[in-house]
Amino acid sequence: MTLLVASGAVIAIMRDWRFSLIAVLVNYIAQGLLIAQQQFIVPDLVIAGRQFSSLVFIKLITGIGVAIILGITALTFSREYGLEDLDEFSLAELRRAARVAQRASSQENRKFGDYIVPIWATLLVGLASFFLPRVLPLAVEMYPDQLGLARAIDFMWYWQVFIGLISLVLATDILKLGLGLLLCLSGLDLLYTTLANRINILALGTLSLVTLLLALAIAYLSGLLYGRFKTLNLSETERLK
Amino acid sequence: MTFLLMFCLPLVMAAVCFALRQQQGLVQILAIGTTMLLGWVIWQVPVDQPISIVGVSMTVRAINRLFLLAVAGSFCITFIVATRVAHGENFVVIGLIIFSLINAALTIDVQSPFLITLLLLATGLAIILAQVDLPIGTTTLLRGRAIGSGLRYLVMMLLAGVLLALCFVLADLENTPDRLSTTSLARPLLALLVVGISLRLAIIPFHSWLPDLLEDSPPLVGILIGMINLAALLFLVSAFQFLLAPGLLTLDPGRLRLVRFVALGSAIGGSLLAIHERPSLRRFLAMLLISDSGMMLFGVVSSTTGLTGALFQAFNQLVLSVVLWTAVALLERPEPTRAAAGDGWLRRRPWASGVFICGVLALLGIPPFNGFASRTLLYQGAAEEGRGYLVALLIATMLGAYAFALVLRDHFLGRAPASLPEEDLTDFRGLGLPPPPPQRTEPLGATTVAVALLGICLVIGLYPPLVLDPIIEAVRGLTFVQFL
Repeated sequence: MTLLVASGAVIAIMRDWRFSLIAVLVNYIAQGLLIAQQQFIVPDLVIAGRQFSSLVFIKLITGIGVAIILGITALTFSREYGLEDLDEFSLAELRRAARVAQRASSQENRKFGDYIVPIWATLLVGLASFFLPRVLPLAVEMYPDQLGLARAIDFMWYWQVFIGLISLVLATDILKLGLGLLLCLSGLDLLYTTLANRINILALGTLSLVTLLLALAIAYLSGLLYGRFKTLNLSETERLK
Repeated sequence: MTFLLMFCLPLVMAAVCFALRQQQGLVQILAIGTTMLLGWVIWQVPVDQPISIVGVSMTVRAINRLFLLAVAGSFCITFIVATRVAHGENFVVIGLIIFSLINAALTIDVQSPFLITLLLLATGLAIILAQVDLPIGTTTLLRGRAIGSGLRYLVMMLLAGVLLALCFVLADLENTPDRLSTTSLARPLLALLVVGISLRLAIIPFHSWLPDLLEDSPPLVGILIGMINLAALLFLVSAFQFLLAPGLLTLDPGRLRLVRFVALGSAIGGSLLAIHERPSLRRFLAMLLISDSGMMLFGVVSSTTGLTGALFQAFNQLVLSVVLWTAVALLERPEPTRAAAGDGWLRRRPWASGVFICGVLALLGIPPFNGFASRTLLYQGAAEEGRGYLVALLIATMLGAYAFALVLRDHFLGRAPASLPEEDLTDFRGLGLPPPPPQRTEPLGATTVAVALLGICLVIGLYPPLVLDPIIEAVRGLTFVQFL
């Protein structure tokens, strides 16, 4: 649970994609571990003498898949594709975009002040996730005899969804926006896995598939944006109307 | 086996088409053949005989079959039009994936709404790829705004998906027999459902993504969005059946009235915005579609007659979106010379203009087209609920008609077009580069298909029972209507 909270906070606060991607991987692993600890999930696999549920593996594979997709994308941003097909106008536009991006990155001076809003927003999300389960407790109603576990589940899914939304709101670059979307989806995944009456394996598989597709879509759009403007900054999408 | 064929064949063909994407002619022939074959398969599927695949029940009901056939037909026509109209490199691939997902969403039983929500979410992800897809061998760069509107759509669709999925998890919880609390979750359930569907259908105030997306995407993507909207509306009907019929959700008059007001606000607001957005043909069309979606939402939450009208209108909107976006694609084809002042579309592109004008008239419910019967049913449903509702719907239609009259004057009769993409005319001037080949005539194939489709609209308009009878039969089976 601590890992889940910490990784969510890192995604919301940190701007460096290296930290964010590691935090995403940790987040998915922590989610898998959280599910593995639940008594209501029946183990159906035995590995090295220990029993696991296949659900845990689905989560882990999804998380590793997402981290790999986004990691490869982040590492290959700088590559150029399909330049040979472009006309003179487009090549000139690309050179201009590269100059603008270089100027912007040289002027970028990260100050502590830039982190104040994300830090306060994360604290607010923490408070909301702590108090909202008192108003609308869902897991507590399902598992009244395991109060501690139920409170933890309620806190965790609220936290995941809200920290995802906050990351969306505060996002200045496309990767951060994508991570926010992934966190929202991950919160929904947690809610469905822990609270649904009848967990359907096809629905869970589809949810994992949608998560991977979302990661692919984000990777593709990031590549497009970088290829076009030499930056991941979202403000560029409003230029050149 | 037949069910699996309906989902798997388009996916397999999408993979084949992706591998062969450099040979667009072959890819288009394969896609047209696939949609025709699947249309025949859907026609052969036995109605009301559920089967179970991996614990998920699937059925084809009469109404679903009607819409499945309409979707297959629309895809077939879209792929035919794509042979003559500019589109992205992977348009056919993405179209086939969406076809498979819509087939699955319309076939899976209402008892698995969570799964259907995820499938609709996946269709949204596919649309974004179509939005930012450039044609093979293009020499220009993708516009930054296209990426921006694609991202906005991504965020909206994901939020809609999360809200709807949350709604069904809560419904599951509400249905738990040994729940500790007796607090009803009806209010959050309804709020999540209405907001989630409003985001998907672009109901005001959640509408801003639709005009931006349609303005920045290739015209044929508009048809795909129309198909997804149809699936979303049918899903809303299924969701009401899932939530209202077993009593999971109760609608008191106050809450129902609120949903109706939101729908009417969207109907009127969409038409008003259409007047404001008339300089751009695409944004005007988007606003008319928003207004129409508002009317359909109103029909779903009004009465049996209104629900029948809404389903009929959804069918019509699907067919008309093919007609209208094909016309837009034909109108926007590059011209060899700049149009003179006062030389409207009607003179320069008479066939495409005629198709567009008739399509909008049909969408506004002007006789003798198909929209007349569905709009009449919607008005009748509104009149049954109160005279005020009827007046509001009529105002929305009149405002839409006024907006169209202005568009007709500005774009088709007199002034030079404002919505012509500038790069088509300016890319080659003064640079010594060869100009694009002149396209003086309207492409015969695509124009013929659009006119033929308009003929089908006319036939349905003159003889509505063709479509109306299965819808009436289906609405009789929807027990949730008695709770409205």
